[in-house]
Amino acid sequence: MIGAEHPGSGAGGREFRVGAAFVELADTPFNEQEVSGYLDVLCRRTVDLVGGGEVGVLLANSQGTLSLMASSTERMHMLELLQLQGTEGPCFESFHSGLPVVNAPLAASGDRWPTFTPLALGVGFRSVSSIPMRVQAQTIGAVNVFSTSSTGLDASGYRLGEALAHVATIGIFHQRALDQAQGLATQLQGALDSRVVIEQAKGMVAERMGIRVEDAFLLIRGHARVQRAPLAAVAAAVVSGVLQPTELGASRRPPR
Amino acid sequence: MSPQEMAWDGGASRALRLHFVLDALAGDPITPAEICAHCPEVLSVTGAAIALAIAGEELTAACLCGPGSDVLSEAAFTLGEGPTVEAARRGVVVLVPDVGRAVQRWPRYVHVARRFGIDAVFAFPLAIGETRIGALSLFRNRPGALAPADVSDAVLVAQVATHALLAWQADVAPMALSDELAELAGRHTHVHQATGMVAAQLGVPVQDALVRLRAEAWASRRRLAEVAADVVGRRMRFEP
Repeated sequence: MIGAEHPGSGAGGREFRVGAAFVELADTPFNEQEVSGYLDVLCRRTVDLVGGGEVGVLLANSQGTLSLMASSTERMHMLELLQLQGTEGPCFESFHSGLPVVNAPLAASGDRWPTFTPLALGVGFRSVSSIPMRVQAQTIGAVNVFSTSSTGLDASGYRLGEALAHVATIGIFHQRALDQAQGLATQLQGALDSRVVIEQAKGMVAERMGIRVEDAFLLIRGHARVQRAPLAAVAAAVVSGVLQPTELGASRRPPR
Repeated sequence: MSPQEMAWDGGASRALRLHFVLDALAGDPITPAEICAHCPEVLSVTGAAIALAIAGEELTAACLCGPGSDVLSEAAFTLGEGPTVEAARRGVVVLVPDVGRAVQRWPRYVHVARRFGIDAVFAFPLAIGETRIGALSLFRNRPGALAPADVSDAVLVAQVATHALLAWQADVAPMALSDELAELAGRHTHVHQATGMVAAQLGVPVQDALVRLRAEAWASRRRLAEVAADVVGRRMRFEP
């Protein structure tokens, strides 16, 4: 055939699309806002490559409550929401156990998930898999793949789904670690800067009032207490010249 | 070779950051002192220092290794100039393969470096995004560029050092400091007090007062901390 591509390679071939999926998922989210877009990518790539029917991604918040982050269709959306309202289903199971649910036939799952099963069968699904999003001992969510066939995913499709979920999990971990580090860095800077400004204010007040540095500190602290203001804020006002040392403790004499 | 600078996005490549996350998940967190101690063998330098930046200007060495690193860390603090100060203040990598060529830019720092046998200095910011918390400095007792592979490894080492410093702060309340960081922050209490006193004596902003204190330290060939102790002890005054 003229212009035919080698099967599996070339743009649009499966091999190419697998590579592209991993490249896309290696571009990890930089902040909380980018996480849902990132999981949309995971969702689309899983639908395209894994061979199920529909896909939904759920992520737990810091309290361990799962919420739907991305899904391949609105029909899925409905179902996932139902899953969340109950306390059962493949997603809850794999999230809490950390173990995957692989091609569970819905026809035989009536006892396992009594609420979930009839709803899923009702919208045309025959089997379901749920891959935990897990790194070492920590599970942060799950990827659910719903199939309209009772056989579900083949072995290579399942393994690829697992690999995509794993890469995305590392991406989410990375974003969370970065977010936490950013918060700590800002906090550290604030704590260090406030100590510097308090010492500077002590020196300034001691010099201006002709008192000892220790007494200058009592004066600044007394003022902060009377004004119910943070010590660092009073110190900053002194250092910037907004508050004169002579105005400190105007309503209370410093202990000598 | 003259001093070189390069823009740094605070994050290096995503692959390196992934590497860190995996490393962090793997086991016990590495300490800043361990990171510093391994720099000479890993990055083919003769000394290293990891410094915390306080109020953006003052660098307090958290850990040191190799000859000359103590003197140059003290010089960065006393003088407020040099590659380490630039890296921490501006968030850029500063490569000085031959300090002799940087004499116009940092005359006093270069004087100290040469006197103590350091011929090359490479400084990397410790930063998360726009938030800069210090710098990693690498020293070598002979001139010559850092190999490109060592530059990228040093960026990674600086990132790991950033996270190692922040790990100290992970379990304390906002505005509080961990014991390790409080000890570092408390080392220069006299300098901050003296800065406030000199600002009052001269009627100038604290930034200018610190510049005057540093100039006095250099002129009298003393450490900034010694001059500050004299000011706080009221053995020395600055006149407008």
